[in-house]
Amino acid sequence: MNTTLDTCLSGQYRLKQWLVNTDKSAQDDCSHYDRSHILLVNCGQIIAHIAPAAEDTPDPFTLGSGIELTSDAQSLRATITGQLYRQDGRIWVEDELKIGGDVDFSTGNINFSGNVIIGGGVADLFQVNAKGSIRIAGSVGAAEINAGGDLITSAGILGNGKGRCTAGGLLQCTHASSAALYSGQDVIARRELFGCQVFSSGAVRVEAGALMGGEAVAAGGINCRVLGSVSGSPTIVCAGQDPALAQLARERLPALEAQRQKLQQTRQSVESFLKNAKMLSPAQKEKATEILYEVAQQEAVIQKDLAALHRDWKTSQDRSRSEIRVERMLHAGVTIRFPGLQATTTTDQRGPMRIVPKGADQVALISDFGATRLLAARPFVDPLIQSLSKALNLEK
Amino acid sequence: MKILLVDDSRTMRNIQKKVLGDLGAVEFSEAGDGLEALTAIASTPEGFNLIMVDWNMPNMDGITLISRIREKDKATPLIMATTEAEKSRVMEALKAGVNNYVIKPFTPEMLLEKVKTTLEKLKAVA
Repeated sequence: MNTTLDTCLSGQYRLKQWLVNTDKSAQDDCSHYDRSHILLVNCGQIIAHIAPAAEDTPDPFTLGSGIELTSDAQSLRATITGQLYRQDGRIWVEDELKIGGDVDFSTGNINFSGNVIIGGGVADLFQVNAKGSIRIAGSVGAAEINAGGDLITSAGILGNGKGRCTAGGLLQCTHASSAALYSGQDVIARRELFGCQVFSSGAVRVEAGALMGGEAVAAGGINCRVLGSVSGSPTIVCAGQDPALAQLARERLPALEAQRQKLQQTRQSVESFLKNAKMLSPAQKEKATEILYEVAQQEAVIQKDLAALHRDWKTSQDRSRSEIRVERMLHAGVTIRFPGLQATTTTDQRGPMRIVPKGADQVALISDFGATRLLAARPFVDPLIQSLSKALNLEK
Repeated sequence: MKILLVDDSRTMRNIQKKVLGDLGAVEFSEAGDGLEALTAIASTPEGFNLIMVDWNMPNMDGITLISRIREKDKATPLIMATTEAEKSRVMEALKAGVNNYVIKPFTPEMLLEKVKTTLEKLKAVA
């Protein structure tokens, strides 16, 4: 018998034993950052043992969504993974984790398999990890936030040199300073990005303010109102190069190189066998056949990995856009990079303008009013991208 | 497609299985010597589409096995995969009734090519 919200009658059962740990702070070996009063349950987890309730049972309950009775009617089981609530005689599970206030010592670090909604902010040194999206109403301090989907903060990210936010999807905030921001799609700051390390596989957009200090790398181009600062804070922007490619190179090239070396060694051992094939004993011939098979297997693995890398490279190239747009002011001291070249501005330039590579050794600042100014560029090659390009035989 | 792999080396049978798996939907049977192969053939009334045979095996060697098979069955494709590389040995195997001959050491490509060629040739003749 499975009973859900629709069929369960209030007062029919009483709780015999509550099985979900309600307070991690009771555990002495638990870090203060991991202590939490939030109840999280996994799909299929037994939450409580129950018994039939008498008419005068003092603590009857009603089942809400995300919970069912087990077939023997002796226990309650979660039917979804999520946050468990027990309130006013009702028990239910929601697949979205809602935190009314701040993520701090009152909540501990958050690890959740779905979406997370935080009513307040995230305090320094805390972590929020969600496989789904994360929405934060308050500001984020020097914390670590990882969202499988979008990460949207209604306030700012004040990283203080330690904050790190990663989003598989869109990353949006009003402003961010001294934080590392990684996004699989666009990074949008409504007012300002100051002294941040920004890596986006989409575009970086600072809709109403300045991108100043730090570094911003965006596959899909960069768009801001002001680029650089009056004080000349070192600012580097790179458009048209997918930071995910560098990550890809960092992650996969060492393994690929190791595979190649192994293949080389195997080839050498088989070559020495084959040079004297006629002199080999039957057992050695059998062994040589095994090694030849091993070589073929290793080659197939390398080819498969290279094909996957080629696909990722192509996808990245398809979404790349080597253009920077500045609406109001481009300051002196900004290093502008496009794949293969870089230039540094030496004077302030008024916008609106777009900045694009021109040939192999120039960067063009093209005003919306028609004037074009050329900056001398010098070669710039990201060593990781170069290694990847070499591995894929893409170099001319 | 049903293929019988006859070789006293399990590793070699596994290699052949993986390489010949590229031929498509293949059902493999295995035997560690000639006697086991004859049992497998007897218990498979629908027959095999291909039999791969090693020469040197315990209990009954490959050349004896081929002769025994050809006493009753002239049609099933037989390929010998062996370390015996001398011309006289190759001739002996052909006389016994093998359709093709693969000398170890071989690469996966060589084996696959040899098997494909043999099957195509026999199909064309039929």
